[in-house]
Amino acid sequence: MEILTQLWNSILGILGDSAFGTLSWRNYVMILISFLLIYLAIRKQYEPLVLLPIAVGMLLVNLCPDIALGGRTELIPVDVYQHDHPGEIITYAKTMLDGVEYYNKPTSGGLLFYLYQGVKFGIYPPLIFLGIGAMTDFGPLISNPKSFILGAAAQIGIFITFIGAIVLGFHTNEAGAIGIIGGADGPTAIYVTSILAPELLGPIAVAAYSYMALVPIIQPPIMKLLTTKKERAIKMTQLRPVSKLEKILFPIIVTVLVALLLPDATTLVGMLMFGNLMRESGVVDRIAKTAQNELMNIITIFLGLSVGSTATGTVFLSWKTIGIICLGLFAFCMGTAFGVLFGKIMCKATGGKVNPLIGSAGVSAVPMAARVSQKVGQEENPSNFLLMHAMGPNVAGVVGSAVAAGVLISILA
Amino acid sequence: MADNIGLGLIILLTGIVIVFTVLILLIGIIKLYSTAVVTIQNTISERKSRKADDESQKSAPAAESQTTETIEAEQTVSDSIEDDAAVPGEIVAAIAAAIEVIFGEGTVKIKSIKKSSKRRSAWKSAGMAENTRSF
Repeated sequence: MEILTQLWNSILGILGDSAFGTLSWRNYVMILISFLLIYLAIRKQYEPLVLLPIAVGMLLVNLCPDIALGGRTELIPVDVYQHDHPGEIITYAKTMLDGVEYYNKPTSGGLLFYLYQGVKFGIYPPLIFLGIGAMTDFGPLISNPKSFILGAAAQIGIFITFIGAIVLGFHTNEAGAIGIIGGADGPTAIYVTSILAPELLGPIAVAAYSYMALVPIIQPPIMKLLTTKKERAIKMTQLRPVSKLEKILFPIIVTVLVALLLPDATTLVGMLMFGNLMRESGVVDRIAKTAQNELMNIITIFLGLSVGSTATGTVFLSWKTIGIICLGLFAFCMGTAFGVLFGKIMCKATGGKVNPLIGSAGVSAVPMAARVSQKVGQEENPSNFLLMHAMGPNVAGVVGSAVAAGVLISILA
Repeated sequence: MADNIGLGLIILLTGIVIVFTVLILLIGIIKLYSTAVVTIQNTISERKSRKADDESQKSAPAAESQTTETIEAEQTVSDSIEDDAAVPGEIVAAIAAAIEVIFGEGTVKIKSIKKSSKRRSAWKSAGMAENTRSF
């Protein structure tokens, strides 16, 4: 009988120490949400490169919260420790509590805690920008610099949403982090949030990447609503070819100008332009390819996992998350709408030479937003090719959202 | 709340003004340097073509005055002229178009197109087959 009682007690002890005994209902809900995100990433292919690591980070942290906890100091009675470790030269600091002497033994943190330091100190997003710069051809933008206006117009959504978030009761820093979702740029959203409101990193990253994945669904109705059939069918003239020298000078000039005017945007824009200079210079192909591929892939894994690890039940399952998801959608729609409206203004100003559909590509989701402009344009006129024209505002949007991020950080941080 | 909305409005206006100012400045600067680069590159290419023309004009009378050329040299020159002449106009146009697509319009000047030797070693033929076979 005594043996059975001991067996029962030890089973209870193991169960008590296991996840079944320590997890709350919130963790289980988050585990289900992570399954949903894994499904969306694999089955629906919604930004799978980012959504899958985020979902797995979310799953791991809710199964085993210790994986994202930092190192702690364990207090072990001196006599107990010396008894267990005979002959060891002990260098731990001592603490006296209630007449008992303890060693302060440091323990290491979980893997995701250390990976998260790259987000906390703002290291990963600029490195992602480096890779984006190395992959981006700014030729269409240099060829038609007026595209910058559309890239700027699409950022208006960020600032309008900022006010919307304040009206809904969010703190100013939180409102800034929520507004940046409208830039449709994942790394920028993570960078700004890690500085202004790190506690909202999980919901904001999930919202930002979800909406980027939903660009082909969200944008077309807004584009069609704000344009006429005649405007959508406008054919644009071919862009002039851009020389290599112009392409090399572009990143240098943009870096110098943006850094002088807005030092807070230097990190993002500087890395973006450094990546582009590597690509265009043609003399460092090896490291340019590393930035585009290996480095970018490694950072994407680290970024996704660590951002996912911030989505714990207590943070994610709150009214704030619902507010963030609604405001994020609003920001995204406003960005698209203002891009198209400015496209219409440019269309009128140029006597019908600009197709307003390219304005929606001003949100930075590269190259998805440009593809959407191409697709919607071709629906009206199958012989219309807007892709390269839309790439101008699209890459201008990347620069624009980095500048908008710099503005928010300089005012709010 | 009222204070926050006030701050929000300030940020809205500041943000829009700064983003537009920076990007409009970039438009101006890009246009400026693009124009400068295109102008400089055109000037350089014009100078180069003038130099080439001048050199060809100078070499032509010199060649006429030379009466004692070796038979071997004459044969080489006439061979190359024959080779150039043998390339049909359509092929010249196709090669020129392909080169423009690769290097960009107006960036390369084609001076001559010559037929490669018909005799190719087995190694060269294998390399050519490897690099040009369809995927």
